[in-house]
Amino acid sequence: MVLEQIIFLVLAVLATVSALGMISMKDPVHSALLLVFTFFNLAAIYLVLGAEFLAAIQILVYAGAIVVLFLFVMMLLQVRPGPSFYKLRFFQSRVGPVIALVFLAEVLLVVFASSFMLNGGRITNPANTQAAQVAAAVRYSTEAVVPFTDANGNTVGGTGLGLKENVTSGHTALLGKELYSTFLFPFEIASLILLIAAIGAIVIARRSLEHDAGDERGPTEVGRGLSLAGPMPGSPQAIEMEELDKELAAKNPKAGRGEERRLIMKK
Amino acid sequence: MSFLTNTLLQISTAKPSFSGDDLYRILPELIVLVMAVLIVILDLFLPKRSRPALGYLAIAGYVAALVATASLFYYGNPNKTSFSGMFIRDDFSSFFEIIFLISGILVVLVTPSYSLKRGIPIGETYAIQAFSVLGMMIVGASGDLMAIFVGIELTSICSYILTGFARNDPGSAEGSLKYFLLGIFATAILVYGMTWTFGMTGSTNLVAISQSIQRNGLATDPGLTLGMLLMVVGFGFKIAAVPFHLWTPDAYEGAPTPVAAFMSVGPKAAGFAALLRVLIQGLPELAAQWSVIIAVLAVLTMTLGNVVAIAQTSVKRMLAYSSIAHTGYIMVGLAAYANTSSPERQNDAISSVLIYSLIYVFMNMGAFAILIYVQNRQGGPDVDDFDGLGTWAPGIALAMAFCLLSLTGIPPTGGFLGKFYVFRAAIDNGYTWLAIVGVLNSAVSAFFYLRIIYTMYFNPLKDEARAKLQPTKTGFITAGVVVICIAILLLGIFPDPALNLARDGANPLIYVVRATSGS
Repeated sequence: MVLEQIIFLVLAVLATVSALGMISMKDPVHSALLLVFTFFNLAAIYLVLGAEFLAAIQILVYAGAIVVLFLFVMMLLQVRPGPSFYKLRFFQSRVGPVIALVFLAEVLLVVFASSFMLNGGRITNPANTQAAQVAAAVRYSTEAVVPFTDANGNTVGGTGLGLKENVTSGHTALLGKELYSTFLFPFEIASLILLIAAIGAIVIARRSLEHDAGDERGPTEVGRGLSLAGPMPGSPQAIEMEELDKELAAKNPKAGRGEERRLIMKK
Repeated sequence: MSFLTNTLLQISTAKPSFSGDDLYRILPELIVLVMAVLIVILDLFLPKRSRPALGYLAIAGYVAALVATASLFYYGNPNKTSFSGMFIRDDFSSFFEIIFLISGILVVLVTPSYSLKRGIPIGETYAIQAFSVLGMMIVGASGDLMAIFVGIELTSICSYILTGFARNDPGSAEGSLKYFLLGIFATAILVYGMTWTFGMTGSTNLVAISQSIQRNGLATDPGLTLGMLLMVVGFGFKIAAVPFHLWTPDAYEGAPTPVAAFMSVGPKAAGFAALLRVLIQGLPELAAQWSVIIAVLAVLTMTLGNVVAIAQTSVKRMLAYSSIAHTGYIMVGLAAYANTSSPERQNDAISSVLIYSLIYVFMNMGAFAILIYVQNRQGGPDVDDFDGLGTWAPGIALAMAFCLLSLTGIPPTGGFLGKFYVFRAAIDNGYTWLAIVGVLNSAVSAFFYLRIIYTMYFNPLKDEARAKLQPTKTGFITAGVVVICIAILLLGIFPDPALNLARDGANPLIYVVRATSGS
């Protein structure tokens, strides 16, 4: 038990320090690497808690996919080190930390004042096990919304896949079972969210709007403006493209410039 | 071997996660889902000229879902939970589904003339709007924090995307990015609140949460209060309540006007549905606390929205602030709920929120529809562009005047009744000061609404502006405006059917609260 606590403390301190480092580094690449380190520490804490599946997911999804995405974006956009924290605007650099400290104090106050501590942890509190049973009764009943108006406080409804029976079958199995039974509905909706995000990303990142230009008139007079799809005006890529356009126009004034440019860019 | 048999036994005795009944209960949602996916697929294969015809498919889908909802409502909702308590089919969810589907139909009517003129992809617009409506329907019918969260996210992500659809317009990208960054921050706060609530009560199911609060005496626990506060902040962002409204003017101004119209009615109503479910169904024991918070937020929201709206020169931005102000009026009804224990009074309060949300869909959508018409003809959304509308488009001007009078709350319109019910609920339940603030705010709002009516009828159209008037297709918009005006008039002079629906819709929440408090 003591060993467990020592391991937890070491991991927690490391995670906190690297998280602080992440937000105070000037170079975004350093920040991203410290973020990976934070995620690894969190994953180790999950392991200590016996949640091996979450730990694996934490490393695969967060440390793996998401941070790699960050690094790719930084590489493609050539992000330079930003200004030091204290050179930011007055509000952000002075008032921000104060607000953060106030919020931290608030959360700490709540943690110490609420019944977490008093009852030696809610999860082991017998009253809470009862609450979990009630929750299960609500979950697995397809009867009226309120099936348990029973005054004795006895739980009404089937045992179903209640959390208690499955503790022996391992965390991963439990998680999978819950995900595809109790949480099937939100799980399916989450797939719709992914679909929508993909459609939206394609529409917004598509290079030209000409295919959709109206039946009534051509593209509007508003001009290209700062489109999310094109290169940033003034960036090296944009200048390169403009030069390419000019060259092509000089060579062959009639041809559709966009098409050829695309062909050349491909080469 | 015994392990294997045990496992097999477990699998065979495990309850199925859903049944045919469950599918029947989510029929309206399924119809909208099928319609949305069909639009996505057909959009790929149709030639660009015939893509606007997808609007008919969208309307057909919404109408079919509306018929399904209405018949479930009419033949008596089962009032039962599906999918392990995630989804509740009751009169409350049906009422909100009707609101969302109507706003879906109206936005399909006002979209094409704006989007086609500006080269905004029309098929994807319809599809994403439909997914957004689906998300709202899920929020309205959810009985669990998880379902509320995924529903709200589905709707919000659709809104971020739709805001950025006018890619030729830098304002659209700016509005979309601001909305997205602030939106995900608000979502993080919302989820943090949900985790606290789950941590304190041991469940994400709303009914189980209220049970657990009672059994464990958690009503005064600071941890639960923190969870409630954080959730109110998260939902407050979604309904654009002050001080979480900062995204609203920029997002509305940058978004294509039909999208702004949609965001101002649909996702806002969905935010209210979620607030009602969470606060009344999940946290009724904390009513004394959240009622005060909601009342204070309502005062701030009404006052700031109306006062800042006066200073706007762009009608689009003015309508953005006006939509903030209307959030405040609706919150008055929610605050009024908590001060009473009589079921009739509670029903008054909740049904006033429901009926106001319904009326607001029509009147705000109407104002935006006519703004779209003027933008198509004149090119801009400014107050000046409404000069002399009464002479060059008399019918449209009359409809605009009607919608604006309704937004102000002048008697023969639906807007008056909405305000009347909300303020009456507040006075009945001991929030007289809140009702007084609301009425004063309505008086302030008359200033900027009536200024547009003045501009339309008393400012002449300048000759150079007349020469620049552009032609526009008006078929769909006119149809939409006619429907809206008839609806506002009917709700104003003959409100009983809608009011009875709203009363039915409010009942399930009260029933749940009474049943869980053991009486």
